[in-house]
Amino acid sequence: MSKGFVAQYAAQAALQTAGVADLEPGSLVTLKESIGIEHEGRGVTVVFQPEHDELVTITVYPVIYFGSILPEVAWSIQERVKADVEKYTGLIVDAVHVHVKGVITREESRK
Amino acid sequence: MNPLVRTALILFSFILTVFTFIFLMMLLSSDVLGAMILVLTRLTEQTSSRLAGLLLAILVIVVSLTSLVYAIMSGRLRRTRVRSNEIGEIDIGVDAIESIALNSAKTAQCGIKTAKARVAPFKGDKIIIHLSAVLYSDVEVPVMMAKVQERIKKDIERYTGISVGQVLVKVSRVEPVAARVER
Repeated sequence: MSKGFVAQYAAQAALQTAGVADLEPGSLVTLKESIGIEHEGRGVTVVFQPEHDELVTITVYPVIYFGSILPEVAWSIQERVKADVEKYTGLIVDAVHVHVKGVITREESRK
Repeated sequence: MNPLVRTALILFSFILTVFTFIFLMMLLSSDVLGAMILVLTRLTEQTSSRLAGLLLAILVIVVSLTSLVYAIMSGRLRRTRVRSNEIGEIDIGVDAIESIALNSAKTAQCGIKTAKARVAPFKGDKIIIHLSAVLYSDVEVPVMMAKVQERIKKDIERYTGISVGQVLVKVSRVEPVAARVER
């Protein structure tokens, strides 16, 4: 099972959570996308545990709408990503880390 | 700025001044240069004075390293707020806190034209917000800025759960209201 495949599910789940505006990809991924290579599951990193192939650690980098309470949104991202990835891939999610990268207002995001 | 770092900084600048002065004198006159070389050779000859010199050099290195680290670290909040639960950790980035501060300042309707926010660590687990703002001229600065401070503090505490120690507002410029109407 590839990392990109798991990352796509995680990114989907995170984006569906209420209050999440976008996921922020790292600088390396932005560079990769500007060249034209498509990156699967942007804004999410997936790390498999070296000893156990079943265990996976996911880190999500969301941008959240202004006005929502960040810890609560982060908790629901964690729960949702964990549940969805476990349901669709059958892997065991060891941990879901959430690094809130930014906050934007709804007007800004519409531009 | 805590007293220890302050002392280190003062010491560092003092030592730097002295050394530069000696270096300058060495360049200007060969007499001083010769004397300094003599002093240095004497210093390395005897074990006791050599040890003292070594200690002094180590002290200087420690002091300069401290000030270097402080200068790099003090600007912005580096270590962001991490807390963890059974699923994983949640980390609220500096950019997120800054843009919350900025947004709540702008939506306060206190005549703020543009603003910049910066977050720095404060005593304990708190943070301190520096806001520098450009205002419109029809603003009663003290009243309105007090309102902005309160609002920023309340918003950040509500949205992030991080307690705010201080909110410092600096009004950098005031622009005439007419500039807005002209366009």
